[in-house]
Amino acid sequence: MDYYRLRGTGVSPGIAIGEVRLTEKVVFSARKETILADKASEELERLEAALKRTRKQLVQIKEKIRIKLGEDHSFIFEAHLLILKDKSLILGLRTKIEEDLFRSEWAITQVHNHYMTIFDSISDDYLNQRKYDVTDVLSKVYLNLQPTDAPKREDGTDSVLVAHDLLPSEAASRLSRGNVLAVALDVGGTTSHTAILARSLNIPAVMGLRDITHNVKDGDTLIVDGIDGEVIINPPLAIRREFIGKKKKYDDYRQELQKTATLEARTLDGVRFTPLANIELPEEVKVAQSMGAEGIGLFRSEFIYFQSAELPGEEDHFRIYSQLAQQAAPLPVYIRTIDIGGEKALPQMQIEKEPNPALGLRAIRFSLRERKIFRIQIRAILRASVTKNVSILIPMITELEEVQEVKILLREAQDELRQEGIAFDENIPLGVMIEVPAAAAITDKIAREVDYLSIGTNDLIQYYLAVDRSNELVSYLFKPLHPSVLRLLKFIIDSARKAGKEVTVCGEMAADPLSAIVLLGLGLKNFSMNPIFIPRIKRVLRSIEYGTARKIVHRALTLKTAQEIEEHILESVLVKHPTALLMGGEYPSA
Amino acid sequence: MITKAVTIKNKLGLHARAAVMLVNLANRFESSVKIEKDGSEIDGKSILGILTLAATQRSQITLRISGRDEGLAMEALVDLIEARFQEEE
Repeated sequence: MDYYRLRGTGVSPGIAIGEVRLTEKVVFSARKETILADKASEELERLEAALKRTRKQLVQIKEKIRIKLGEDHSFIFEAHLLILKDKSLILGLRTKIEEDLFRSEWAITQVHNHYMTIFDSISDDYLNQRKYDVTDVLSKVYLNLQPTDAPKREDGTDSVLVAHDLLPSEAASRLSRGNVLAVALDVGGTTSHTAILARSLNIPAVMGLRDITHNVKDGDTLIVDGIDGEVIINPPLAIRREFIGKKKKYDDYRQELQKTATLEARTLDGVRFTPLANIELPEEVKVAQSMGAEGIGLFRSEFIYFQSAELPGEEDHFRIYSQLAQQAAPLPVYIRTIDIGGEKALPQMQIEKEPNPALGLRAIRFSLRERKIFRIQIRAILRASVTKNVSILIPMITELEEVQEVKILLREAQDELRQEGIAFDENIPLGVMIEVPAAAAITDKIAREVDYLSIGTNDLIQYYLAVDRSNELVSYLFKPLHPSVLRLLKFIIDSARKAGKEVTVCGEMAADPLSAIVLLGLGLKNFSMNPIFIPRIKRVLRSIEYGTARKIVHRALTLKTAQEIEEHILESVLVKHPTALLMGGEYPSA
Repeated sequence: MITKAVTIKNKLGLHARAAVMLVNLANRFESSVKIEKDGSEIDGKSILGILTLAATQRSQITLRISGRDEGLAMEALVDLIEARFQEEE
């Protein structure tokens, strides 16, 4: 019972302690067992009963998942049901019993091997992987041959699921059974389907652990800390106690926040603000709404380009944007056109490595150079806009000419669609990201040309302060509350207001309690962030007065350093609203 | 018996979702449905048959249908394949 700890990425917050269950190893028999000829019909009945039980289980799980997660996830069980009644498969099993006089266990093993060989000869990767569906179904039948057994441990008790990786169908069926305390995987990250599912089902998960499957065995005790991305194997009592405490604190905090999510987003003095979500997949819309999001403030479209070896076509884009718009309707969704190039280049294109990617061919610069790719995306967004809740958001604008060029391209795409008789929202709003300091300085001019603005504070601050915050040597200089940043933000927000245009902040500043108070004080009403932070920010902003925030910021703008500003905000907030920054713990860590 | 050659046009080919639709449709008819590709023939009412046929996009397949409702069955199955299994494309 060795004790050790592994680090990964926390992809779904929360803490769970439980016994390890490695994803079920297939139990097929290795022993050839035969039966006597006069027992064949009895054996067939045993098989028949197992098939029947399996069928019942599959129908139940299919229905359960359809209700919980929708048709897209339940469909795989439709396929499994068809496999279960596949004539050639059933005939194969029956023949092995009736003619070869094999015991059912051995018959299933033989038929399974037969299909594995066939599928292995298929070169298409996707179809080749369908062999696991056959394995899945046959192993269920196999287990059902022993009906009198007490429910198998893997079906009954709660445990921690440990695996190398999970297919989307596996993730759907395993996680929704309600007996998975936590998930720990060798591979995967925040945007994998399993991660999204875990978050939506509130199951703590840590991924990217590299080799946890080699380090644990069934029955080991595991602590999964989805907050800090850590897994502890066979913890001693003291560590266990520590985490039980941490878990309780987090669970209380979470409960408190969930209550907040449904409350109205108003400050103490009744000023309305709007929490919005930054997401990457249409499937995240529901989670975001349950956290209190009143729209999708930023939909990052990049993932669409990483899904296949070929560049995505208009239909690929359209399918995703439609799903997104329909899921969110009538709440607004802001779809950002690709923010790609430089260090995160498109896998499908050979782009020369640039000496200074952060200042290179990125985002709208890339789109205006690769107009075919841009046109496809614009057309798809327009087509999805029939639900009337879609806005187009252009990243990394530097100068007005770019805005004008985008408008021309947008108009061209609209003309094309009109000629083709394809419907779209004629009044689709066009907005730009303010994240290049040069654009920030002419916000007053830009605001007149667009329908709304969105401030990307991460890049804006990085460019404005000339600090790469991933560089440990200089990251201490990355200060969102630097007086110069406040002045710049004030100018942007004021300019938008004077032009009568909506403005949103969609950087991490919106998710940080102190910064959110500052932004509110500057007059900001739309806060877009990772959905898990929405309850926290709602709670903070609901517990202060807009008037107080304005006064605090008024004074903050006269101070000399980021530290002075931070101290001033903390003190003033605590004097006026002593409980505003009380979080019931420091979670979730950013 | 009637026979017809068709090309798989949908992007994903006869993948799991398409196979489910094809089998479900084929099972609504009394006639036997055989599908041939590159010399191997499978039962069109068997999902494992269809999956192991490995018919990817642009594959040529031949439908062989025989029975009382063969005409209707052929029409319905060809429609489904031609409609790219309702994949948006």
